[in-house]
Amino acid sequence: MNKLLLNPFESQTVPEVMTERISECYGNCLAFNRTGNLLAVGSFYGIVVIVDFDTYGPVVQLQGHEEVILSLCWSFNSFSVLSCGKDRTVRLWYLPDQKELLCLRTPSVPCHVEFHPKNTEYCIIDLSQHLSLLVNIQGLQGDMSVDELTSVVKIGAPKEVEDEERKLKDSLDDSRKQMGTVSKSPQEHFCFFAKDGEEIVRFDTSGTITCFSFEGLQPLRVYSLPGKGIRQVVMERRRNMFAVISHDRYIRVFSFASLLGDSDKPVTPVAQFTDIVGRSQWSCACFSGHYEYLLCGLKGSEHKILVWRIEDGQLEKTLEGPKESILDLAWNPRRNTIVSCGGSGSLYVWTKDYTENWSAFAPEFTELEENEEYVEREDEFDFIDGILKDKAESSDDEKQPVDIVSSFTDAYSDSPCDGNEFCMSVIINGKF
Amino acid sequence: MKLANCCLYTLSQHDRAVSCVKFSCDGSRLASCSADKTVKLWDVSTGKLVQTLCGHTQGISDLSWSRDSRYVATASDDKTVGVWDTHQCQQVAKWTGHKSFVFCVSFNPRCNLLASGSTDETIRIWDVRTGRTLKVIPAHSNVVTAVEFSKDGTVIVSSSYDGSCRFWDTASGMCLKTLVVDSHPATSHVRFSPNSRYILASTLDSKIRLWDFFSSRICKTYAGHVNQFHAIYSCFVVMDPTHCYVVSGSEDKNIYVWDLQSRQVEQQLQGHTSAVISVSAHPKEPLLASSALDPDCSVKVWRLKNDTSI
Repeated sequence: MNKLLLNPFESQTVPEVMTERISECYGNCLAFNRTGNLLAVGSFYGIVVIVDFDTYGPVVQLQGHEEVILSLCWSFNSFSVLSCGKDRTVRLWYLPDQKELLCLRTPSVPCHVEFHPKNTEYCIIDLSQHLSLLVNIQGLQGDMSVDELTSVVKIGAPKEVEDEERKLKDSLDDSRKQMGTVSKSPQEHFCFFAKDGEEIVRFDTSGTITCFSFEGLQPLRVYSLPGKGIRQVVMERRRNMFAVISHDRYIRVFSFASLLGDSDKPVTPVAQFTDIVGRSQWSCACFSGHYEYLLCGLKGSEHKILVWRIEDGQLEKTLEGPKESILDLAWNPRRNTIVSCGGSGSLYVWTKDYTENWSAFAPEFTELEENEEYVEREDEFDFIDGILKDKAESSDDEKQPVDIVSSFTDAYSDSPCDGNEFCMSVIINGKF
Repeated sequence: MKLANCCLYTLSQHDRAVSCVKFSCDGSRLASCSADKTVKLWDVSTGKLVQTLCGHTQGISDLSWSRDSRYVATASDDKTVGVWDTHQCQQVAKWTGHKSFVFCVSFNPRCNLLASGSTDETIRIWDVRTGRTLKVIPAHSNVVTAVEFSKDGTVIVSSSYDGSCRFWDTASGMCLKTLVVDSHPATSHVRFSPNSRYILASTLDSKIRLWDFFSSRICKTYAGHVNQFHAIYSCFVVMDPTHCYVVSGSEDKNIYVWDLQSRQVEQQLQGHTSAVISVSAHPKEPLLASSALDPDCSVKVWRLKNDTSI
């Protein structure tokens, strides 16, 4: 709602300065909930901390993982968080109870987890050395292994799934014969929900994109990407765009619309960026709220964030932070604020450098570029009967009906506030 | 359709003027605070006194319920903001920082922030969990008479005897807008409409105005009551989306009920024997609570009904 009162030109600017360090909280991976009021932080030691972004105070600590957290995802209503870690587990946390509902053990390290955007019963788990999985987690509780589940589907073409199963069998046989050797599947996949969850888009490290239908997991279309192999894929929150960090040190931005056309065609990027000066590889990236900008963190010992305009590919700004590397970046979906993770695990908040808007302090104030000489009207400051008269409050205007009840849609929010969002319980003088 | 009313309870256990009454968010309790330094909690279904909360060393001017109907925040002349746990019946927080009387308090919808306004002309924003002051906003040039958060919590509105209503960005503390009436009457109370599309501002020229604050336009003016000295509360009563009313106390000892759309006085509730300072609408039922200044010092609960027989 504040956006409606802010200067529309100002409200779209990117953060300029580091304004805050979130205290008592360290991490290496970040995820905002849909409304941007809660931030999930995964740490090196396997702890997931929920930070209240109104106060920058950590409010919940979720303990269970034994090693570094690799990926986090919020359910759309903010009631649950999925996390996966190097300890080869995917855990589901239910925030109202602040407890772990489910611990799924996976055959290899899960690199990325994602909830279905509309149905929290489904999630995607990307595994290293294996095909990614689509899991129905509805009703699952406690500690279990993915291999035991019946509600799991491998995301791949029928032949790939066959191959994978044969390979698994072989590796089992092999490991029986000669201990310790595990056959390495050559490809790693990055899977994401698209089109409101109707499709799943799979990226292979070699640069092939396959779109699958969510129902039945049928391969629909195949595309190829330019560049030499994919290192990392970054999604825009509403799935209008995605960015791919390639091994050739380029980060390329693509529009999802290009994944609707003819199959087997190479997809052309909307924009591509590289660090011309340092030739450094990118460490992390995120899109701004309305995907006007791509924010990229460079690998190396510096905390440097480059802000690129996607439309014309120009560098908008460079944000330089403390002397430490940068691990992850997250854009707050409702405010023009970003959070970055330093190599030490410190979390930094970047916002616009607010300058007081003095013309907001009185209705008749306007900001002038230059001084102006004021010419007084003849009767302007005349007192009639000792008081300055109100301008006649015309009662004609007041006949128009007003609606004080129905909520109006905020142009900047994804959906009208329906009151079904999760809200932290009230804590007063609580210790963390 | 005509509005009728009857007085359900008269609760007279406060020794001094009752500065504010408010129903809890779940509607089960009514809290009243008074110049006698206490907060009293009443059971809405029976009208019985449930608890008396003592701890402030000076009179209390305003209170705010938390979303879970468990905590009450209070603004006191002892310069502190108090937070009370109504389940444990004790004060759980006492926040100091204001340099003068605290005049108004308000939780945000998520209840992780609290805003307080004071006669020191500032608004303070508190982190509810730690009690830390997050921001001090030099908001006005006179007493801050009311603060409230918008429905989505991103905007704070404040009113002051300096004659203005100001809007603040919660996250940055920046001033977003100022609304004044040309003749600059002191603004004694302000609140958002249920959908936060409008504000209702009371001024000491005995008028209440409904502003469309996006376009800075006065949509409705309500008059007929007397309000020249005190910070008298006003509120909205929504019987159903087509039957909405504006209610305010008045210094002529009556409560005024206007039809939201026609701006006509629909009802005058008579019964108090002093100026009615505070009114509050029940969140679900057509109930209204009111409180009066010295020497009446009572709280009354009214039932409003759409009387179809007239």
